[in-house]
Amino acid sequence: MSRQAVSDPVEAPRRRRTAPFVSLAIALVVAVLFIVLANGKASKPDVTSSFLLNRPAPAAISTTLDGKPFDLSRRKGSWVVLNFFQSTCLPCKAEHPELVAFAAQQASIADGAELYTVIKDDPDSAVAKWFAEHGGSWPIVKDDDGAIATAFGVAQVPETWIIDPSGVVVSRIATTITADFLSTKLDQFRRVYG
Amino acid sequence: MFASTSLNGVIGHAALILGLAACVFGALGLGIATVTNDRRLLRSIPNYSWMALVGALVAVAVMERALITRDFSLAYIQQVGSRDTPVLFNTTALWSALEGSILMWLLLLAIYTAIIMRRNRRRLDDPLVAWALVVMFVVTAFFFLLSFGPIDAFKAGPTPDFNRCCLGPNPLLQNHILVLFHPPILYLGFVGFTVPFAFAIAALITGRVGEGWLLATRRWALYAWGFLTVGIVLGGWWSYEVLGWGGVWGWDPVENASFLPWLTATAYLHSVLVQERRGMLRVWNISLLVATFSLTILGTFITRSGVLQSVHAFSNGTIGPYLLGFFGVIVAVSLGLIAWRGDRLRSPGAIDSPVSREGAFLANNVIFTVFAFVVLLGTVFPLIVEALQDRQIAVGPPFFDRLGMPIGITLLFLMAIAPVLPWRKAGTELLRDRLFWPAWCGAGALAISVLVGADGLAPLVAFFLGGFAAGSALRQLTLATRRQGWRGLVGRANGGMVVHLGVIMIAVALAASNSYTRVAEFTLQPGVPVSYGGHTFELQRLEQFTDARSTGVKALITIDGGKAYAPAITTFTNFGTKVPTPSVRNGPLNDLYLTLEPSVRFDGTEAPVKIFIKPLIVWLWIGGSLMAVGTVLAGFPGRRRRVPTDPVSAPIELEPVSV
Repeated sequence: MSRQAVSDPVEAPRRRRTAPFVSLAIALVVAVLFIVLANGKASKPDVTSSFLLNRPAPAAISTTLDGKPFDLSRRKGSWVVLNFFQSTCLPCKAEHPELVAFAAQQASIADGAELYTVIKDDPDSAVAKWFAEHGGSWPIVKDDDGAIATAFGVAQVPETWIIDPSGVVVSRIATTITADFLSTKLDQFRRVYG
Repeated sequence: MFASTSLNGVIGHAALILGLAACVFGALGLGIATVTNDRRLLRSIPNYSWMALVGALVAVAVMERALITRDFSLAYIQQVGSRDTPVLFNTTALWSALEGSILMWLLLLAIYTAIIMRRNRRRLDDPLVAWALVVMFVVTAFFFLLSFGPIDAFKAGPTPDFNRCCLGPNPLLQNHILVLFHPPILYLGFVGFTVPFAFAIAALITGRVGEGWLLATRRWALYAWGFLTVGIVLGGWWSYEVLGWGGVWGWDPVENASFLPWLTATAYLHSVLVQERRGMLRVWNISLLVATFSLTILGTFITRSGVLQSVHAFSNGTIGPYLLGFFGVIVAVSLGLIAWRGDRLRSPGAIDSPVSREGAFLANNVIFTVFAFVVLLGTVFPLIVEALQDRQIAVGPPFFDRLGMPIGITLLFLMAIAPVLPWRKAGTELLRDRLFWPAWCGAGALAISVLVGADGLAPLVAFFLGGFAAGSALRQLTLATRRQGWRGLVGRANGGMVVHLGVIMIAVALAASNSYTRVAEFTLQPGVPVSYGGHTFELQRLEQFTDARSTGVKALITIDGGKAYAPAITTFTNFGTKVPTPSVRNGPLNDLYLTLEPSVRFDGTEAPVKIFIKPLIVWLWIGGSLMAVGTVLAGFPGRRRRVPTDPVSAPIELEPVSV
């Protein structure tokens, strides 16, 4: 447009009708942009991206609080939900009843997911105390050197990950969840997984 | 508690309604009065502006009061307030989420409208002024509507459940004093562009696209640009001092959103000189202002709708369609007006030679526009791909760095050449003469950088051109001060040269820090010094600290046996978020930048740290300050120079402007 504005011959008082056409061209470009932006799905705040999505889950080998060995790669065949937890974090505490409800929901169906809490930066005793007081009988995995959290790239607690029966990471939720949200999400994945 | 509750909400709602009504009546009244030439109605219009200002002031004051008194009955206070937030961060929590930041935008807009009204209250019978104020009223009304309706800033919250709500602002927004300055200054810039935009639209409506509206708004555009510049630089500083990743700019969508209007505004500040001097590029200048303003709205949309992933995004999806719709209306109306008026308003002047001041300004405009286009494309590209192919991609720093580097180098080259070019036409003789010393400055800069061991083509080219451009700017300033004494430092041309010096400092600092930063990770143990980059680092001890909202650990590390620096990790208990705080030893040549890694253990006897050695960073902040000083100098004398005979302000009228 600038080019148009300056290349007018000095001696010509005649008017070329260029402005409407240039405006129309720009309007078309902006219209396309507008449509793209209007259709851009608001990226869901509840599902966070990770380079691990749709890739095999990293190795996670440890022991549970009651002394049993834990190896994520041996959980293939079932849906696994990992919840990274810290007993001092308010959102984790707020989320806990939802996890209890979620565990109950999954226990009541045939292909229910296995729920594991992974301790993140917290003394084992504090977590054990929390579970003793507030319920929850699913296994609690120790992660003393933070290896599991590091392997998954956990940014902040609470963070919840879903791993499919072939050991592939399908979802990362870096915020608090509700029981219904998680169960619905799993149902969707099961249908896709077939 | 409940009485005060409803009181804040009720007063807030009432204030917003008052402001909305005032703006709607103001816009309608002023429009009707102008069309029908109704003097009596015209005289009543300023009152609507004062009322809108009162509405916005009261709304912000009430929200601030609710924050300070911890009135958790309001949904917004539940979202960003907490009992433990310190006073400073509790105050700044006003703009730590969507509702409050729109309120702040609103207040600034109402203030700007009132100032324009106050200064022009006796000139309302001038259609140009009247239509400009109509536009200001309409924009202000939109923001009143936004904060009253769709986002409902004063919505009553549910009964607060203190286990879930009232956690306080995002930890990153309660960690550094800069939160007090960066957002408001940035907003002053964003909102400031409404004024020149309003006058540009008024010029199109009235058909008075001559230079009158330029005189009315050039200082507004300049100061808005200055605020935006300072806001962006402060954002870089914040990122560097708080976020702890060691960088200043990450090409995040929201950073781009502030950079886009900056680019088009910078183009405007240059091309407007061509219009003032030669009467050319009239429609183009209007288009640049329209682009700048609509990009601020688009930027707000990108930030606030959650449509793009970003560290700054507030995940609130309800407001997006309104902002996008407003953006569409602005663009449609502006383009319609340009299509309608454009041809009649164009000046028939032509550029005599590409090697001239106006030719250089034109090149500058083309490059800035291309730059803006590249940044816009990169920012929305993920959405385009998602729309076409239903897959998600990310466009990251490599794309912007690769395309931005040649553009930056071209701009440096223009900065070296353009200031010495005369208007109309330049001969080679004259160029050789005028570029002699600047070119030697460039050669000197190149020689020095090679001597201190710089390598790599791109940074060396940048250093050479930086020296060259600095030489040109200094030459202009020297000549000007020799002629006019201290007045040689003020005025647009001379102040502009000071701004150029600031830009050059930033360009050189960016080239150096992007090319020569070194980083290494160490696990420090007390009493075991580590050598890196010619310095020794020794861990003294790890210290734990606790306050109401956080616990943390800091590592006291001495550098070369001197003062202890204390990078820290703070865990905000309400969020479970770990926020690293770097510790920086600034130096004129190198910054030593220490961060503590999140894997540090509270009980540990060792500290995992990252040590960055970053060259010339301090010159980014010096350059930014110089740009601010230059902006003030550029806007300084004004009145005395605006005599009608001033050859710079008086356009060369090549034909009468048709109305």
